[in-house]
Amino acid sequence: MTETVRILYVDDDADIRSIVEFALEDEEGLTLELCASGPEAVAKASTLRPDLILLDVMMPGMDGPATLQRLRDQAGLVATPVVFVTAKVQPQEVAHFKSIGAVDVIAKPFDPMALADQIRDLWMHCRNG
Amino acid sequence: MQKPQFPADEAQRLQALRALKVLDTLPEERYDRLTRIARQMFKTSITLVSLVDAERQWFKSRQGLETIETPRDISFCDHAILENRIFYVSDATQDPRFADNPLVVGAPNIRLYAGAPLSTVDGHRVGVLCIIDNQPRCLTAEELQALRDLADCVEVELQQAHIHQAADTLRHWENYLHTVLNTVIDGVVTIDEQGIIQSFNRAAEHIFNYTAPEVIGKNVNVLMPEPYCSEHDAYLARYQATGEARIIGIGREVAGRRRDGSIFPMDLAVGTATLEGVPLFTGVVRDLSERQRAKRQLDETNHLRQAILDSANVGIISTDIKGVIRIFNKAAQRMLGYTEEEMVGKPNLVLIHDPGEIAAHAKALSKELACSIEPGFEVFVAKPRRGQVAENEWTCIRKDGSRFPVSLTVTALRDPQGEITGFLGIGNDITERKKMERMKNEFVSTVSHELRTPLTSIRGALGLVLGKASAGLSPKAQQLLETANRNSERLTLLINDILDLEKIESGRLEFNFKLLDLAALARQALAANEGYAQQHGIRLHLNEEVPQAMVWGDEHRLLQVFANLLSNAIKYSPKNGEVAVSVQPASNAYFRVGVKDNGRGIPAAFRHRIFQRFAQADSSDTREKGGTGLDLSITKAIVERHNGYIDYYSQENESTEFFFELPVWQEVIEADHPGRTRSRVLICEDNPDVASILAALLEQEGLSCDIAATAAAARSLLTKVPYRALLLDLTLPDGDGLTMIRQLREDETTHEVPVIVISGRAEEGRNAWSGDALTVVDWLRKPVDSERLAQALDQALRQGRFPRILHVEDDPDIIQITQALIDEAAEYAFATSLREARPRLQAEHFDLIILDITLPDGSGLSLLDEISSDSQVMLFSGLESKTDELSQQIAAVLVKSKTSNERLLATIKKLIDKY
Repeated sequence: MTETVRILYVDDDADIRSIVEFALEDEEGLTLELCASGPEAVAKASTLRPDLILLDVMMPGMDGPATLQRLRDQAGLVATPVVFVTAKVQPQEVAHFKSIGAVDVIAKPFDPMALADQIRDLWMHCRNG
Repeated sequence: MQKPQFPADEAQRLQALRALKVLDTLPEERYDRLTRIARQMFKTSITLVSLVDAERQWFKSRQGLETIETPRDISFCDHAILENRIFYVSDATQDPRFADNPLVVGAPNIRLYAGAPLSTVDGHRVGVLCIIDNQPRCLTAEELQALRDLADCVEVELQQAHIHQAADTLRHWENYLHTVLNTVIDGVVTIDEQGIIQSFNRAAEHIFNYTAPEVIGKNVNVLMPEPYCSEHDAYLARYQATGEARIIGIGREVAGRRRDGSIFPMDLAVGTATLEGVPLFTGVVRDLSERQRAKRQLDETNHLRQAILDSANVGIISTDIKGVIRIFNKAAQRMLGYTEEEMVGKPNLVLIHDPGEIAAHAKALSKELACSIEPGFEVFVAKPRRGQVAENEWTCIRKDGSRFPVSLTVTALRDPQGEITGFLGIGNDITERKKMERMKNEFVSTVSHELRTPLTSIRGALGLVLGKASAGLSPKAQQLLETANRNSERLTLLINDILDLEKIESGRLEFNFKLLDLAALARQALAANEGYAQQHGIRLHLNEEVPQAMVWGDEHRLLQVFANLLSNAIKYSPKNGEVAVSVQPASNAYFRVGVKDNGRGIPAAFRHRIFQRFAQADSSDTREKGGTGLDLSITKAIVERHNGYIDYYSQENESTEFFFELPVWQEVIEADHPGRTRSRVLICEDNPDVASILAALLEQEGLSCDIAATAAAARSLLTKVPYRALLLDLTLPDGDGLTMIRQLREDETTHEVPVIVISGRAEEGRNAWSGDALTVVDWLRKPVDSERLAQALDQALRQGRFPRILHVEDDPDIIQITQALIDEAAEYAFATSLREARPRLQAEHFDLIILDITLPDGSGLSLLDEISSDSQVMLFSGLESKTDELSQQIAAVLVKSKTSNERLLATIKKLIDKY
């Protein structure tokens, strides 16, 4: 598998960012870019052009859904799949996230050892579906 | 033989005889002694007191004769009553009237007969005292006189019969009066003109506590307290002199005095009569002590009730059975701003409730009670009427129009026979509670997030060390880290469960109810838990005793119930055990699902705690078996939200079976159209109160809705969901509604969505609108008129071009899957037979008809002729069909077993895409 999937992970919690970084380092086919806030993500994404964006929901200032809206407003990011990584995983919350444009939701806390596979599955699903 | 003539007074004579009431009575000594004396005196063989009846002579007393009567026509006595003097025959054989008489020729061979007639006081000769002998004999004048004297004695006795009779009658009436007087509940006291007591009945004895003999003969004033006691004699005298009455003929409430001197209130009525020229006064007395005590008690109860009503800080409203208000207490007046006068006596409950909310409740209740409940008063009382508790939250509207939330409990008021006489509603203003709830929700949600965030790092760090960096760790360190990791996982589950339980129990967790097949769900649950069972070496087995078990439920939550019960059963099963799941009807009204293991069972002592939080029979279980100890509490809460019931049977060291029962789904007659997907409408409104009112109105119209608080959210939703209409506020936090309409019209995906403006600035907006007038269906002012909104919605729904699909299919699983696949892409309706499909095809237009071929009442293909030519047809059945043999109208043919969900959806979408 030679294709590389570029992932943008956005979370205001530095510890979680480093966990994600650690979990995905050395994972074949995945490259990771980290952002600590919505505005940073919006700024970076337009140049970075990630294949998949992972967004925390509860962030100070611009939260996940708001960040999603802003990302969608940008040319080239209209169709980029976005996944929320959140503790808000009640069925109607998940339904809500999907209704505003998320392709899926990864529940926090997540299993770090399974994260890479989870992301690959999501990516396969997005690319084929 | 010569018969005598009838006496001239025969008719009156017989009447007089019968009036004596002596005929056919028993012998009496007072007559018998006279006949005995006569026999002794005259030494005759027979003496009789003979009474001459119409056809016979009957003997009241007889000596020397056995027979009690003989025919009148051969009797001597019949001759004897013709005259007043004694009738005397000395030798009957020598008398031509009697010589051949059978009584002369044969026994008793009468020779001598002398009879003295017996007369009544009125002079009617009714009988005879006679002496008879079988030897001829002459009687002297003295003897005849003696006979007459004895006859006079008999006459006296006969006349006394009258007196006895009169005495009997008198006795009877006396008894009767006595009984009446002694059984009436009123005291009856009679006095003479001096006020002396003449009679005193039993009730009077009871009331005054005197016996009759104690007071009869005494002045009635012993029964009176002062001043009546001293005044009474003078009063009586004055009455007799002047006729001036205070009580006589009037009756009034006065005081009485008992033997012990105690004074009591009584009702006294006095009547007066004159008996043999002497005035007699009759007093009728009723003791009022009891009545006054009862009245005092009633007054006290009423005062207490009023005090409770007035001081209660909950609103209390009671109505009659029709909803007319009877009580509207002070708290209700304060809460709602209406006065008692404005509400009591009027059916004004509608004033304080939101019609939209009432309609929504009516709909929900109709479904729940499986009968049609009209929006109106019935919505509040339908459950209490059925003996159920009705506890609901309502929005109440004050007189000034402001709204507030109320928790209202309604109970039926019943009379002792159990008939409902009215209803009682107790309402609490829960504004504060709501606020607290909201704060608590936010707190719980924040805390859960705040807990999960560090937990994400902890769990992540531990997982990574163990997964990627454990190479250099000592076994001890590795073990410690594993413990930490396992417990971080447990903590995660615990937080999830606590939140779940909190939400389910507080009713805040929304359940997504729909029609489900429990049997299919059981299959799904078994498949999902198969892996877990295998890990534990357990076989799962399903006993389906019904092919289908339709219930009204939330699929996700019921799967959670299955998962919890299955994982418990698996955990507690012995190695290589089996867990058996069964689905069966429990009664007509319930389906029952059982999950049975052959584990060690549950100790009986644990039964009362099993469904409590953090309950485990053995505290070591938590660590050994995993789980949070909340599973069963959650399971129970979910089952109860489905109006179901959960329990278990267990035999220690043998088996445990947990089971739950859910109500069998029943089609509601009132349901708008069976099998029709509800059209979805988007509400764009930033004020949550207004939005929820609109949502209720939409619900009332049979529409479902989403709410977007901002223009951005609305735009985003509109691009994803094919809404049938948009209700739009003009003033939005992030923009102007008019601008938004323009943007929507420019965007290809949204340019056809019908818009209904609902705004305080509707008029203004309409005037300012420079675009095509037709792009907005209607401009409605707030507060919105529900009638006008309904019209606008009707128009909007007709305008929107939304494809409609009819699925003719008898397999509920396929219907369910197809419905879920199509979701919001089209309006979906289904029919399960030809009979159901035909009227719909005639009455409605469908863009696509999906046909199953094998239907319970024939082939789906037979519908082809009835489908209009502008509808598309797709065959979706278990049978393979050659397309070219079929109608050209058929646009696609799919075979069930060979078609994936994706392909099915893609085909449907392609066919309806042009709409």
